[in-house]
Amino acid sequence: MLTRRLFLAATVLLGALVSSPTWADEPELPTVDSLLNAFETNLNFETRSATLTMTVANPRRTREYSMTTFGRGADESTIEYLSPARERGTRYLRKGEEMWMYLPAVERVQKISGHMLRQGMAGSDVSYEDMTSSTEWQESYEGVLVGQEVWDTRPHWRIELTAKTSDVTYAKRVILVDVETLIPSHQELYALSGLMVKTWDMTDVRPLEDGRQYPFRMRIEDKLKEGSYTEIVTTELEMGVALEEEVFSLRWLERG
Amino acid sequence: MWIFKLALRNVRRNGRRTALTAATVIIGVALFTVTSAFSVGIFENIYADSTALIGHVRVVDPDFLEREQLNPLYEYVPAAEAVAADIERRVPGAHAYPIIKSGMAVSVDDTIGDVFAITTGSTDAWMRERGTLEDKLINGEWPDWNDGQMLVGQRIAEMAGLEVGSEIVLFGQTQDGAISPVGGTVAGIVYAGNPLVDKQVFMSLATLQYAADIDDGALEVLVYGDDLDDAEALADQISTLASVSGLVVEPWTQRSPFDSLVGITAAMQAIIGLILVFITALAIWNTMTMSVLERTSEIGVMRAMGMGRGSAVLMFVVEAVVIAIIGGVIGMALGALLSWPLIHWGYNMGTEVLDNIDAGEMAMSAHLYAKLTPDMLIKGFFVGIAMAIAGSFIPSLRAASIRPVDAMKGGR
Repeated sequence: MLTRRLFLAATVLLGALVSSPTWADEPELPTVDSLLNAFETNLNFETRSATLTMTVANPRRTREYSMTTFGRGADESTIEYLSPARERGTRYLRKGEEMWMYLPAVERVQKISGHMLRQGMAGSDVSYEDMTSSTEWQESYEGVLVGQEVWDTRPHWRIELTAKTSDVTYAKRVILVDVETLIPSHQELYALSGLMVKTWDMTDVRPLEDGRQYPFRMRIEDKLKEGSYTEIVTTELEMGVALEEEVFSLRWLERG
Repeated sequence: MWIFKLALRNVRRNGRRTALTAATVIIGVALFTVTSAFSVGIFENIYADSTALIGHVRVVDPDFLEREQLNPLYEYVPAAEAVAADIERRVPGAHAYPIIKSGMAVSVDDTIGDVFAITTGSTDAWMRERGTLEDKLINGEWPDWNDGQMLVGQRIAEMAGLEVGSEIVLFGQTQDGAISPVGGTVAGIVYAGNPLVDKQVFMSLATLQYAADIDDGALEVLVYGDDLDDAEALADQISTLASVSGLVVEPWTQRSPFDSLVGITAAMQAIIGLILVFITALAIWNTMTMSVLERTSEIGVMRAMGMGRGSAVLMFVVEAVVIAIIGGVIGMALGALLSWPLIHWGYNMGTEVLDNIDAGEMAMSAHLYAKLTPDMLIKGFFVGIAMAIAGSFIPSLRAASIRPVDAMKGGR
């Protein structure tokens, strides 16, 4: 009788152990929104000034540009080319989804619109559309957290964003967000046809003084241009700089 | 001989029917002459105007040919001026010019607008000798190319609101795809009645080389010989030069759409000819059938007197051919007369029509002219004879099949 009771108790206990996956509290998975917010917090800033070098390579030749950039929030930024001589003095101003350029060769400010937005800035793999399109992805995309995977030896969350409307630049984005730094280390950008058109990698992630993580190197590959890539390296970076209102005006664009 | 005399007598005997048959031939031959003159004129004008702008032969990078639709500025001929000079030195009678063509947006106000132009950069010699742009200058003066002055096609000037003296800014690309602006002033406005000129902006080769960032290169080296019909022989000569090794030497006849157009022109003429022969032959068949019916008893008697079937057939065919000879001569004269206004004044279909046609490399003019050559008239004359033979053959077979007894019984 005792043996029978013991057997019954052992069976119930074993059954309970098998049916319950864990006794401890399961770690909570992040939501897509929380991940997007986290890396936007890392990458966005109130004001910023930086010096960048941009290497644009294709199978025929490689060119190097240096530039300074100022930014305020997510919507306002400027770029001024310092070298090479052919590009020196070329300036760009972005305000929201609008963009202008100043071309010293013809001493003229031009608004970039229409088909020109799809062209690569200075022949790079970064289009003007990439620069002007909204970064508020929660509004324009529906996201799914697919799971975790290893990218470049580090664990990453894999998010897949699908556009809610057809007026966005890329119909689908696959983003690998570093579990630790919360930087989108790798992005795959897809056209409506399902074709992967670009990849966008962020590396050399370092902590800044304010505690946030920031990628000092980006590599963009346009998959439609064989053997082509663009590498942007931040050589100097200053956050929270005081910027005059005029920096983000057409007057600045013309006068520098 | 007696058959020929008999046929002539029959031609004279029923003047009204002869006139009707001859009128059919006259109209057929005249129509054939006019349509041939017009179609040949249109296509020959297209070939002459197009090759003036695209060269009798061109020298290009092989990869440029593969991606020509994308206008790859990076697939250029290096040291293009040296290549052109070498061709001129080594090929007797050849004239060579480096050229760059590139699509650019014409800036209107402060926005990169929706007015697109093909920009052509070449030497002053090409602009004058081949583009004959001096003759096409309708406003302004010849540019000082080194001072950033340009010539603008009339349609572009109209669309972008440009006048002589206007500042013009164009946005193109470097060979790497970066936006590359070109600024200058409009020295003159040119008009040719075709988009290959009217929708273009012409500037110095150096300006476009800088804009495209291709140093001393050019996308094409255009070569001209004495006659565009000798382009293939010219291409063969150029191909032997060391300076073009690794490059493609292509005569205009091998370039799209001309490679297929030459055949289409011949086929079109043949089809028009066949249709006219068929329609006219039907009319001749009708009058000749009437003739056979009217002369059934006469044919019966002649057959009873020993005329063979072949002779009966021949008699009617010769009769028709005699009428066709008369009709053919008059038809040739009428065709030449009707073609004359089209040769001298042409037909203007309006430039708006061309706006909706993607003519590619074809210099399609809104003003169409006919071209009449002696061989076209001779061809028309023989088409008339063919019409007569085709139209009279079946009725003459019917005449040959008449049995003398039946014909006499019929009392006709």
